[in-house]
Amino acid sequence: MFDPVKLQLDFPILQRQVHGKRLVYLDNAATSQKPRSVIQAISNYYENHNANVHRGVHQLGDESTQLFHQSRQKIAIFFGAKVEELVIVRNTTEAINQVAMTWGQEHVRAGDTILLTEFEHHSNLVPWQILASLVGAQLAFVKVTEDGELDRADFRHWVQRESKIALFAISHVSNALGTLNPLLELKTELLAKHPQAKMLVDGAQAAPHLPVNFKELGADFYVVSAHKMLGPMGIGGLLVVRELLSELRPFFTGGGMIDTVDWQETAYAEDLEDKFTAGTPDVASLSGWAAACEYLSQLGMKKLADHDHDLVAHGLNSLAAVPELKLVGSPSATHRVGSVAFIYHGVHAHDVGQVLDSEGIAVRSGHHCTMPLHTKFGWAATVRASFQLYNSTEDIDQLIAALAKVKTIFGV
Amino acid sequence: MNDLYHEQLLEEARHPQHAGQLAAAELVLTGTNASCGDEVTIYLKFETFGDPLSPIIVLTWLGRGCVISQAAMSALARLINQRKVTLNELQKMTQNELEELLGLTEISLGRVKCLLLGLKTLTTSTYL
Repeated sequence: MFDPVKLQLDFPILQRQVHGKRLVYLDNAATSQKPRSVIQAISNYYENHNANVHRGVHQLGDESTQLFHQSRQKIAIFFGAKVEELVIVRNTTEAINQVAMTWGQEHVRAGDTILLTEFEHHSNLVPWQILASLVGAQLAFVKVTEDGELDRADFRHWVQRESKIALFAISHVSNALGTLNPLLELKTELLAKHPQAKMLVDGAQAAPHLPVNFKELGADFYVVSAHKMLGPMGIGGLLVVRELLSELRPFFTGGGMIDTVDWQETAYAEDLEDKFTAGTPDVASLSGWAAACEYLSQLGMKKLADHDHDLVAHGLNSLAAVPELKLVGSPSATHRVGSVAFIYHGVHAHDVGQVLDSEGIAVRSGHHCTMPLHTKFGWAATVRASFQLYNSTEDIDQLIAALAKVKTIFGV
Repeated sequence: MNDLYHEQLLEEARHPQHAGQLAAAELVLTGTNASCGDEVTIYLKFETFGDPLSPIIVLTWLGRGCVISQAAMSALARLINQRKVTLNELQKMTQNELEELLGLTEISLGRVKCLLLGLKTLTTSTYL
């Protein structure tokens, strides 16, 4: 029996109070809390094993190097990828920037189309704007419908109409609306007309909730941040299909990623793992991330996905019963993952968030880094409650109860 | 927190002072908080337009956004219309003084930009 309340004991921060109330943390799409095993993996590294990797011929150097490789291995396995397909980055944003500035600059040509969707996070939009202006490509956006779904007819329209789509970049799960996208179907349709096109998938909001198998998704590039899936901040992954990665120019160059260095030129390391690890890696964070993958795997991603589905369904039902609210995104939990979002009629999202905070409830209010989407639908700002495995339906009930206080204070 | 949304603040937001457009405006300034969508448009008439040391004689404004941003702009509008201050003088106004004007004792870090939206719009004008 899956018991989120029992799992809360694994997360030290969930034991604290906020404004004298139990902390109800519903801002997991921004960042998740960390279990003790992750925190311990990081401190254990610095207390017992710290040394630079691949260098000193001494015991600590060996232990650190071993931890580095083991951690990479565990993370790659978690995503169903080969270990050499994992490029370590700081976060999802950095991963997308790297793809834009390496693969993008080499393969996207003047006149090509970069296809995006209207619900991409700014991190999956701004780097493509820059690439497009650098190489003379154009951006196109697949429409999002009023109830938060990707408009499949509009996707078909772009695929049929454009002469060459070089890249399709899409979120696996939308961070603002929670929409789960049918990646493989989209990729198949895309390739039928544009066989050379690549697909980059922003997995930041999917990896914390769903089983992700890199081999089966159809993604050429899959990007994630550790901190949204119980791991530490400042580390993430860029997964690239091996054949594609072997042709890719490294974004960062310098120590560690070389084969031979001459005054005038350098031959890069043949080993892909070395080639894409320039400078001293963050072994402590990598160990923490690996511990997070282990924690999630032990619970089972399938079970966690079911739990998330229950929370989303309960959240949607409960919010729909509050007359002052307008739900945004899909009203059905079928293709919705990780979060629910709403607008409180007559009260700004920040004021709603502040009142909820006074009751110990942490939510996110704003445009969630999807400003054009909010502008399109005329939403000044929305309130988002987003979930993790330690949330229970009682947390959602507490959110609903606290919304009554908004009504009392603002009288609307 | 209950201190935050006290009656004076809510009253100010419910009945914004000097709200509206000003047909005779000599200077129109707009300010937004991109991250939350708060916005104000401020209409100004000066004793001697063009002289940065000349006091503001009329200020009206329009805006939308959270209670803090709108109440702060309203209180600021009242102060400016009462005291005939210059934009230079407003530059010396502190966050604390603005909080006092609204009867606020504490404001969380995340709300400071809401509080300061109106004041910043006035004091970062290229008119100065």
